Amino acid sequence: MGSDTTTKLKLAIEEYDKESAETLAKQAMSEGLNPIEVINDLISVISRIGDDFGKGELFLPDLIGAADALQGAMPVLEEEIAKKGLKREKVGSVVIGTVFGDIHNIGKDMVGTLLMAEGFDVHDLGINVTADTFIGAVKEQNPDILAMSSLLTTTAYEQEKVIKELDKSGLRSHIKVIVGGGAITDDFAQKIGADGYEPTAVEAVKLAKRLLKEG
Amino acid sequence: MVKGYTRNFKPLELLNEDQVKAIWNGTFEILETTGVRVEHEKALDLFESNGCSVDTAGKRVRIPSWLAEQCIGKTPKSFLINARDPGSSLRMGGNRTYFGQNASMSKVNIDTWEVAKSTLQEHSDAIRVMDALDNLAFTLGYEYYMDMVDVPSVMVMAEGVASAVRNSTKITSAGPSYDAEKYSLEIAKVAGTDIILEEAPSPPLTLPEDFCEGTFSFAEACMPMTMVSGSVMGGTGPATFAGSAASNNAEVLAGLCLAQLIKPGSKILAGDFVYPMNMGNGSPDFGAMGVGLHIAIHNQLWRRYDIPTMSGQAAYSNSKKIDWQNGAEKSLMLFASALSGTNYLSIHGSVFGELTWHPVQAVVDDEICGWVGRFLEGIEVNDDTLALDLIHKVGPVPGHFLKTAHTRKWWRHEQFTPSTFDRTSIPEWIKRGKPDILSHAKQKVDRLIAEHKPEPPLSDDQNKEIDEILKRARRDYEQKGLI
Repeated sequence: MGSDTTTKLKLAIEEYDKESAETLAKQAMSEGLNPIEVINDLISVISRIGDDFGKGELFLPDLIGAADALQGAMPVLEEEIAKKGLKREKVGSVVIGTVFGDIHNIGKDMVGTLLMAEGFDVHDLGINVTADTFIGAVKEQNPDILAMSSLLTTTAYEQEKVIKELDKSGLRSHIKVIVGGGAITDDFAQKIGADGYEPTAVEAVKLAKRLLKEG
Repeated sequence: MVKGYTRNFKPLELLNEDQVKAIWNGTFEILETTGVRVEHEKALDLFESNGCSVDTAGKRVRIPSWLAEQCIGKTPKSFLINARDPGSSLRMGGNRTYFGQNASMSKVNIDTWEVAKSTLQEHSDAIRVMDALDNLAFTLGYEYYMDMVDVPSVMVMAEGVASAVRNSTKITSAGPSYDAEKYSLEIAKVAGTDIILEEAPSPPLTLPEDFCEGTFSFAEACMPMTMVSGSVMGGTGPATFAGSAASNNAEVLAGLCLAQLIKPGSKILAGDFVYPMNMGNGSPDFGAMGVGLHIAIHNQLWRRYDIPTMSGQAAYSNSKKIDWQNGAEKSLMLFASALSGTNYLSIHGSVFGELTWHPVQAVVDDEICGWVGRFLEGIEVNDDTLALDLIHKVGPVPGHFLKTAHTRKWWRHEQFTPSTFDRTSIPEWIKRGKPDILSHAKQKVDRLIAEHKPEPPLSDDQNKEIDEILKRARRDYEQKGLI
């Protein structure tokens, strides 16, 4: 706050400039700024862009661009946090992927990027992810949330399959499951036993936060 | 800054060169053989002294084709219409298209869809909405809300023009009737803006007294005029497109000749306002296919001489509501008109033909204009837009373009993004209470009426001067027993 470099760094995020964000993050750290404070400043920029997106004043390329630019700065800042032995409150952790048989990437990427921008730890399994891979990742990462995307009606039931597998493995009660994608509706999400569904990426992030609060 | 669109491809052309010549030859023959009736002494004298054969008793003027062609030659191919704010000025001619407010007499009640009375305040509020719309380049001073309960009918034109210049920086227009054009000119002068006179010969083949009087006033004041003869195919003009085009051309050209004889170089927009007759009830068939076809022919004919064109009837509907039929008729007509090269195109606000009007409709129409306007601009092809390097870099699935700087740089420029048309997904739409276009447009109108002000506003002195002109007009009309 108040530092010239932080101001420039916030501007780099507003201008979606990932390279400058990385350079400026390094500069900020060499100036001895507190990495946690810098991260919080940058997340506030993303939140404001998210609000403008919600109002229809900004659009997906802006939101994703800003979140992507933040990813230029984050590794530098997190490295510094580790080096200094500081501890940053993580909002939560998410395993995310597009289900087996479905190679739609963009919606899942949007949600993943926005979750990261809001301070979540995101483990992205990519597309065409089998139930086994989802279960393996849940066991390994022990995330707060599992997020699954399906754009096709023919693959939507893969989400149900994964939830059943979670049940069988005794993992279901430890985790919140959220689902999304063009093929999904509120009714469907309830029917397959998911904890939540939202039709847009911005709402999905709000849903994730809400579920964590509820515990 | 007022938005005009530049068409970046060849215009739609329906006629071959022989057909163009045949219709123009017919137009010249009509003017030379049958001629036009001119109900104005000074105009008759002027035509006679310039080589026309004039029958003063029968008020008939026969215009030789050499003179008609000479007058066409004196008409500017392009010209600037200067607004009081330079950003609102219009450059007429060439492949530029401006969209603007459409005429319709009365307000419509958008709950019952019945005709409603309006007030001067509503007129002013509506003009402020027009001022705020992105794709609207010109307003109408008087040709909507013509039955305001608090304005005597003879004062509607002068009050309307005053309301237009006070509530918008955009170019507006006046009409010739009971000297209203003279008060309108004075008001425009005080406001520091050009003003367009909407001139209408009476079909078939007649230049009425008001028309001639208005042409003298505006030509002498070097102000632009639209020449718009509103014939009805099968009624006041032939039922065929070729015949109707020839007789409409003759009416427009006779008016153009009068203007050029009064003052060479007079700025003219050759207008089309022709409808087929609704043979079921005898009224103009506002939303008919034939209107679009007529406009396309008209635009091609006048492009032969590079004279700017206007379509006054380019986007009317027969529907009484803002509904599917309304959207279909207005959009199709607008598209035909814009693709065929209209320079000055009226669309905003009319609901049913020339009879009902509402600002909510204007907001919806503005979206159609944005769509069509962007279409007119076509596309750019160069290394950056072709994006081959990027396509190579992104590669197959799971690569995508959403995160790329190229997308951020280009998507807005390449697309038209409507602000009120519904574009949500079904779940979002349900969540928001299933809104439709009308509720979006109503909200926008309410917001603009509450918040929008023209920039810059007129000064107090200018407003006082306009008040004085209106007072004088009212006094003059009272003395003539018209109020």
